[in-house]
Amino acid sequence: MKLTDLKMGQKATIVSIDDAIFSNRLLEMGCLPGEELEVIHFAPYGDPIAIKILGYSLALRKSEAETIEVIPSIVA
Amino acid sequence: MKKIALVGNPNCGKTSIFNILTGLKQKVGNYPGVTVEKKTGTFSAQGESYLLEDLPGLYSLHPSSPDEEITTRSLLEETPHVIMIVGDATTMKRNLLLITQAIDLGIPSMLVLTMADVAEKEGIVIDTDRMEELLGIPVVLMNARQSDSLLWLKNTIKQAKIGNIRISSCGNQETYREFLLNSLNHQHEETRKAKSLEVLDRYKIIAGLIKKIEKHQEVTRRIKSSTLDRWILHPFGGYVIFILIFFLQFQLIFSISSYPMDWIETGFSIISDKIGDFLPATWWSDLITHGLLSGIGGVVVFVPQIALLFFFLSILEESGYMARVSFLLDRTLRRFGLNGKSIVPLSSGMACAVPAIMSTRNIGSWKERIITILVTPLMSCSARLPVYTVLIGLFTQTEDQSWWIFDYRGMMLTLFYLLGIVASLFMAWVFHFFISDRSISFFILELPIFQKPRWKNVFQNVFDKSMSFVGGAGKVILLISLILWVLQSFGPSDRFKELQNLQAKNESHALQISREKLELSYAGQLGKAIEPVIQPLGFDWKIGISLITSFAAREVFVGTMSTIYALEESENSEKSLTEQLRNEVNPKTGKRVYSEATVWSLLIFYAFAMQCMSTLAVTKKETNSWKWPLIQLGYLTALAYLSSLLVYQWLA
Repeated sequence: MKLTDLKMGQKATIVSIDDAIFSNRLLEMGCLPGEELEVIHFAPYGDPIAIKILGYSLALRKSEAETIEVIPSIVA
Repeated sequence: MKKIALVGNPNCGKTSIFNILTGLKQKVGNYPGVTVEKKTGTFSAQGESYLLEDLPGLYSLHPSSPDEEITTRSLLEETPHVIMIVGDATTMKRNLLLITQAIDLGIPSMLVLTMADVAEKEGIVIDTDRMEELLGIPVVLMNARQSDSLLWLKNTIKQAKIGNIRISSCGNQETYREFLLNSLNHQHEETRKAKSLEVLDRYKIIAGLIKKIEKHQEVTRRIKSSTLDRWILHPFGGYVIFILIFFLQFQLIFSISSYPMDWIETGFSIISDKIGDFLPATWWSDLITHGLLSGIGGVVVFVPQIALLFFFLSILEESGYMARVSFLLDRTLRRFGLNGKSIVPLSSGMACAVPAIMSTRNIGSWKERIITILVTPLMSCSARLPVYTVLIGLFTQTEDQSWWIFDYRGMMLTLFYLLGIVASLFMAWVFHFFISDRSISFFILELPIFQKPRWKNVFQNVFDKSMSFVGGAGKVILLISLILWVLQSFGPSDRFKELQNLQAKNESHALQISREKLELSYAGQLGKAIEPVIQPLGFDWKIGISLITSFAAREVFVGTMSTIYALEESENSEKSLTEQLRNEVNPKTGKRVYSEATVWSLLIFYAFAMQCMSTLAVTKKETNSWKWPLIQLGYLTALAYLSSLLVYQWLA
């Protein structure tokens, strides 16, 4: 599923980044396959989205978040 | 002198390191050819003196915006002796990308770790000895709020060395530098792939590094940022907080600054009178008191307002709040063809459009950046503040008109700030239909952790910006006040000379003589020449003079007006300008010159008109063409003229 399908507070692991245009910037900011993230904020209309990754908060647009394919973490 | 380049991620505490090391020995200049602020400073350590250069913050040596490009180019092209890399201990993994890239340049380097105290609270402990060993460069632990680690930092510089090469896929230092330069100059699919491969390779190695240098502990309490963010980023509450903060900011600026402004005004009129009494009544004493002193006074009096505005803006920026505002506003601003990041230039535009336009460099999209540059001058800059202050004062008859806690003048001022915001959004929306897209728009932004503002940085910033106002705008204002004095003191006709003699002999009709003299002077003639054009807006030739002179810079309006009226009613020089304008009567009609319609029209004109040569110059430099500054000048002049015309004709 896509990063945009996650709910507030949900954790997930990145599988891949599908878009070539944003991928470099996202990789540099630490959005790497295998990395765990958590959705921490939604701006109004759910755009942009803020996630916690590598221990810091990163804001990105819905259109950018849509390119990130994730697997939700199983809540114990 | 050996050169040290200071590099690091944005918000990593780089500026604090710079301030701690260089103290007051700082210089703000420009990079050759571009206008990005180049901050350099000097300091000495262990008998050696160094030149420290603060490069714009970036996440990777592959830049994605013009300011990041400066850093990469500077490192590649003007090879420094030492690279001082600043790393944030709270997000070590992300920081290590830039750290390893910088090490791989093959220049002697050292690492300064900041925020270790914050990291520890979050349960992260960094093993610096292990880090030194693995990276091959000295590591210094720096608490930016404590200056006792300064000695350690200074004593480590000489130990800076070329680190361990990490990435085999990039070859050796030489080939890596070539690769960076090549991907900087040629942006195509191949280099993009090579870059992403490099980043992935690095993160693979970093993952191994992190395991060895980072120890995690149990966290006993959640960090403050997340609780605060729940309010500040709240879909509804966030906007309320944003509006409240900005409203309060302007109220405070207006109410606090009025005290020092009064002192400065009184001080200058006392000095001017004393010197006037002391000096003989000749043309040069007149030049000193009416030309020079009123010019200087006109500059100095606005320093309190400008300093306060920069004070609040840097607190908001330093604390991490501005990034949150960008987050909240991105979607809204995008509809107008802007970017969430545009909020930083737009709100700095409330201080001064020149640094604001420079700060558009972190907007990666070309179209969004151009639109931001074009509309930033519509934001009410501090140069408009004096104009607004004088003109708004004309509306109120008594000094004390307030409603509950709201000052009437503060409310009017807020109105004009709002007008600037609305106009800039509207124009941005108009432009976004006409400007074709050259690059993709993105908004990938770090929300830095909330911090107490570092006062040293705040005050340094206030000092830098105020000084650049006094030095830059001040020079222009002073020069123009002198030119104006000349234009007013001399005239082309014989009648002017006749009047001059008459004035010297005859004391009884002094007021009438000086009125006629002003009208016949070069300045008066110039104002008269443009009167037909500005009459439909409700302006007379005296306002015309001020419009001409304030083309260089808006705040000159007040200086010009004070010079014109000081010359005209020299016996009443202590009267404030506002009062003088209020009592100004049209000799033909007997009505007040500054009727409500004229004042509104003038206010609107100043809200929109492009009266700032520095802004045009900076737009030219930033866009690298004459096209954009000309478009900017054209549309703003048209907008100002038409709106003023409409307002005056409607009200009159």
